[in-house]
Amino acid sequence: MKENVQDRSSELVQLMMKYQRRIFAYIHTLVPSRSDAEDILQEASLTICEKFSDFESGTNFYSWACQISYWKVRAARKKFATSKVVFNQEVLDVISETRVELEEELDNRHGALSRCLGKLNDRDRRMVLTRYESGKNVTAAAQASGRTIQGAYKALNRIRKTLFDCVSFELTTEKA
Amino acid sequence: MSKLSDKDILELHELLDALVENNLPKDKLIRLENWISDNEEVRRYYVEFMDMSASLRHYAEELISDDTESSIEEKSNNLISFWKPFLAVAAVLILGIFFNQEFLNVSYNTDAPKVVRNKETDPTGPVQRKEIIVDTVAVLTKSVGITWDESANFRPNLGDTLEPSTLKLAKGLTQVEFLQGATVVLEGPVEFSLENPNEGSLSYGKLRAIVPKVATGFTISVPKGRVIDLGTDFGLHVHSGGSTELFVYQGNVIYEGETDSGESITREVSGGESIFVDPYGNANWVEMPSEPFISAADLAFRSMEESQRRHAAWVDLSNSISADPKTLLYFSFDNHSPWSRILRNESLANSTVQNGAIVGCSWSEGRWSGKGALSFKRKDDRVRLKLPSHLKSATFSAWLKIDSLAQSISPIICSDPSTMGSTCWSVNGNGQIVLRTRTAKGNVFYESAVAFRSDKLNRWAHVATTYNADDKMISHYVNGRSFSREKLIDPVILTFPKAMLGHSSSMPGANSGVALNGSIDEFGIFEGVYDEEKIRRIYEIGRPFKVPNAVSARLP
Repeated sequence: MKENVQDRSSELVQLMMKYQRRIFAYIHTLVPSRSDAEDILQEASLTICEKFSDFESGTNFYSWACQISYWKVRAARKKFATSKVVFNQEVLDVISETRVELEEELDNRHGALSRCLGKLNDRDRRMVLTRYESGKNVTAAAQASGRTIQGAYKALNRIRKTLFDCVSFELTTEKA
Repeated sequence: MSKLSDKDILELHELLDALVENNLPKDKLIRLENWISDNEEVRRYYVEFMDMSASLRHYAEELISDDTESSIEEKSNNLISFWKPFLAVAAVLILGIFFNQEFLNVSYNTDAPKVVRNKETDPTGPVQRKEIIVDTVAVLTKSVGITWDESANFRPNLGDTLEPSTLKLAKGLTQVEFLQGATVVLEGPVEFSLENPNEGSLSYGKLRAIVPKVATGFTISVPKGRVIDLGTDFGLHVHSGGSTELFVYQGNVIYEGETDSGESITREVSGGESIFVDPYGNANWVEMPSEPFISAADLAFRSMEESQRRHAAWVDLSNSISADPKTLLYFSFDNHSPWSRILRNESLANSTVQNGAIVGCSWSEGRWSGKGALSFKRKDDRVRLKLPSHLKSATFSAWLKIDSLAQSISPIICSDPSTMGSTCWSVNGNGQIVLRTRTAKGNVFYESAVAFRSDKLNRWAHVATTYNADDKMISHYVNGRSFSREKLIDPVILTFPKAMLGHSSSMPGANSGVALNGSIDEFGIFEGVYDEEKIRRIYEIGRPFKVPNAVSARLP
């Protein structure tokens, strides 16, 4: 029994390592604020761990984890006075559906983004990655790139658009 | 499904960009929500955009992770923040509640991916559209000599983003930049509320507003009315009795108010004009006073602008040092998170030298507000380095603040003294800068004249030492000036085995290690010899800049 528990915990760690990025991406799609999405990921991780005995090895862990995350997002609406969840339930559901349909493409986009980041100039790359580092805000990104805060907001807007277009282009090229 | 036009895509991108930055106004959020609901293409764009945001987070954390992995073998707790949520998992495992069964009255199955849409089991019921994100409306960008009011519940730090909130200052100046573009300088004592990205409310005290054209319409409520800007520069003073003074320096401002007797008042106030609104709401034209607040604010402004220019100059210098192929090791100590255990080597040219591993030291403020530094307090505090370099000639440069001199040495960078060529750069108990090298004949000490007397302690100082094997000369510099020179008597190739910043693990003839009692906020080792002009430039551009506290002395 002890050995079995160890095997299961090892399996859980491996699955979480493998899927945590995608689970976070799923939550973030439903909860646009990154820090709020991180809070919900934290809660979801705990529940995934606690409920792991319900999970049947060999079945789709990501799907199972997303369902837990989905309910965590719904629970967050009730729990917090200032809602972490900005969309109404219907919109949440259609977003969730769309995400499921796009999973494969989103994986490809994730890979393409890495290449597109490589095409940015150093200053822009440093800025956007600083913005997305844990605990960093636009002010930190502004400092990292020597911009004013207003300038940083504008630059981040431009960089995100550039990256989005670049990723879409990369995928179109791959398909062609 | 209608195809999105280029204009639609641009609008959608603007909405999503504001959404991820938490500053999407309520009306636009509802627009986005409806759009997502009605248009499949918008939904796809939204999902792809948010997924990109999540991926950027992943790559940002992966970058930190790479830094961690490439750093030296150090058993410090370099947890990758991307995996922070996983700590919860670990905690549960440790606590032994791994297989606790009942958690929620919800069952999870392992079917193929599908969306949970069981409205009957929705634990929360219908969603209220009032549940909207709290918008960021402004950023606190500068402050001079501030003290928060005792009753202030909210005390943001420099650089914090501000949601709708109230700032209560007892004294000092602080600058708030509204997201719409207006800038407001508040002078304590003052109570000012931020309402939205282009609106605030002054309960009492003084402010000065600089409003660019993009923020025209910027509005400040005062006790008996409101001031609407038409693109200008103006000052406001609300007295404790409820009267208001409005001074317009440039452009035009409209004052709209109502008297206690119900009469509506509207005044267009132009540059060079001012009005006084009494506690009953009556507005009267008055002479433009020479108001101490304005000059104090101007002075503080100039000081802050100067400070900003100085900082920008230092950033440029820092970047040029990073890019210089002669830079072997360079720590700017900037842009590290307070919990970072990695000290980034920012030398772009030298990839063989890795980041440092911080052991024990704590992050603190450096030469100026917002500048990072590492404090070394306890005897084991150190930054471990791996420096595989061999240098014939070298320049050492550091900004440091020594709190007290140890009897033996205050190490800046030291390496294992038993290895040939090993080097230690420190300040000894007498306050002399010392470069120690290990030669075939033993340790050789090159000591400067006394650089750190008691009046130099607890202050930031720049020190540099050059080791010139060609001219056989050691030169020490303090605050950009040549301080003392000594003959190099036994040249060796300088090496840095088991090097540590701020710590020496084994002093010659001593059993235990010793740490610097102080802080370092910039450090570099350069190949070759920097001349005095170059060293002075590092000092001149990097020297601490004091912002004169002109405010408190000028308060009415």
